[in-house]
Amino acid sequence: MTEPRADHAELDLLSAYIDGELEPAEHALLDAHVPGCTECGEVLAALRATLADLAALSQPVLDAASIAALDARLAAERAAAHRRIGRGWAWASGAAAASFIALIATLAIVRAPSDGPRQSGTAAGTQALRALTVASGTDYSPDTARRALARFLDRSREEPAAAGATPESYTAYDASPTIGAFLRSANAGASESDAATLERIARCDRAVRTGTELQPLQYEIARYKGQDAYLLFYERENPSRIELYVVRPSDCATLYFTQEAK
Amino acid sequence: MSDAPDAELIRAHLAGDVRAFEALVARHRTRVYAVALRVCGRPEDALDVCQEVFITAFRKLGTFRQEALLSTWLHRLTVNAALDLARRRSRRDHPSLDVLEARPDPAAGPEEIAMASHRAVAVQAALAKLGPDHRAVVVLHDLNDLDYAGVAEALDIPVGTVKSRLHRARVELARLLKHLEPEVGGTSSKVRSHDD
Repeated sequence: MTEPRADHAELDLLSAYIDGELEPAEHALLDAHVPGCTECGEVLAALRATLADLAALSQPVLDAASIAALDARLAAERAAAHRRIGRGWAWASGAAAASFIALIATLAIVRAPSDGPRQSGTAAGTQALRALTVASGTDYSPDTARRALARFLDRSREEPAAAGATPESYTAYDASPTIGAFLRSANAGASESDAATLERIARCDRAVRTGTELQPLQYEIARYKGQDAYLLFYERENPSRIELYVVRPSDCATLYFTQEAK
Repeated sequence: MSDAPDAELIRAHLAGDVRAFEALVARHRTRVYAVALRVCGRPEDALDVCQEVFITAFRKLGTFRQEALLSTWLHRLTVNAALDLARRRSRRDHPSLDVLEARPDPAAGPEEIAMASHRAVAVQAALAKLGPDHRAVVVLHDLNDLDYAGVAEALDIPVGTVKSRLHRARVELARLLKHLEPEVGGTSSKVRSHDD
């Protein structure tokens, strides 16, 4: 057996050895050392067993419902983006579920720049409202509400997190709705409470922005300081900024307001 | 359209072609979901990560450097978003059993299948116990077939760091999965809760 290096440094190379990622000289070194080394043998066996365990995990797949939910959310994002840059767009639906196609039709109606979702009494308006509505149940404070608004400005950085640091834009992740909740609200048949909730949101939306130039970004069903609340996110072009109205569902009273320049 | 390379689809998307972005999503969403699921451990969280990643991609493709690979960038966004979400979850949350079934062996009897399911949960739970940097390299290399260079690019770290980090991660997993006694392997003093 080749004498081990100081501190048995060969041990640290065993993964790269199995993966074939060692330089030829180092690889030859281990070829000579390993066969006679008990500890290396144990570690190699353990590494192989661990890799076998990992390999036995099934390959994750996205089911049709999840794909539909993802597409719907991206559609809402795209609608918001095109209102921002003020140009029309054509939608190519590809393989879409029936409810998704209905969503497409309503978003085409919603193209006029001074309107977001229209009179929510109509089925088309309700669908458009629903597309922008998420339910998080998050209990906000003024601080976390401001951070939730800031997320609309910059969702992500490209750089990976340095050791110990977290990209700023993800610190408010507790505000993110689960896609499960969104899926239920977007694709489930209209339950009584579901329709009633959308009607209340629509009422508050009208109360906030009738007569203004505000364009909706998102409606969030959540809580504020322990009580039920809707977070209504809007953007404005002139002056260019985004605004958040936290309102009480029962009477649309504003519980909190914050804004940020774009 | 669906066969066009990523760079071409990006150009088309920036020129206003709606179908181009859809094609990009269709091409990459399974991989994004796969990485997110193994890092987060929970399907609903992984879907949230998918949403975040593609919304970011939609908003930021205009600033994407064309000479870099889109998949590398998506890997990076996915790992960051998934780790951030995983950090926020309670350590006591357990991954769902139903989506973590091991690959079924056609010849396996019911007892073997049950054991495989429990094994899969144990593996995912062990993964969840790894520190974020360790988890990322294992998920990218061992579960998503990136080589050392690919992992290095995705995480923007040197290849040497990938090499050492991956080894320490696997040794830690081996101990958690009881393939290795705690004192064997020579890295026990180097394995900490914070990664290098």
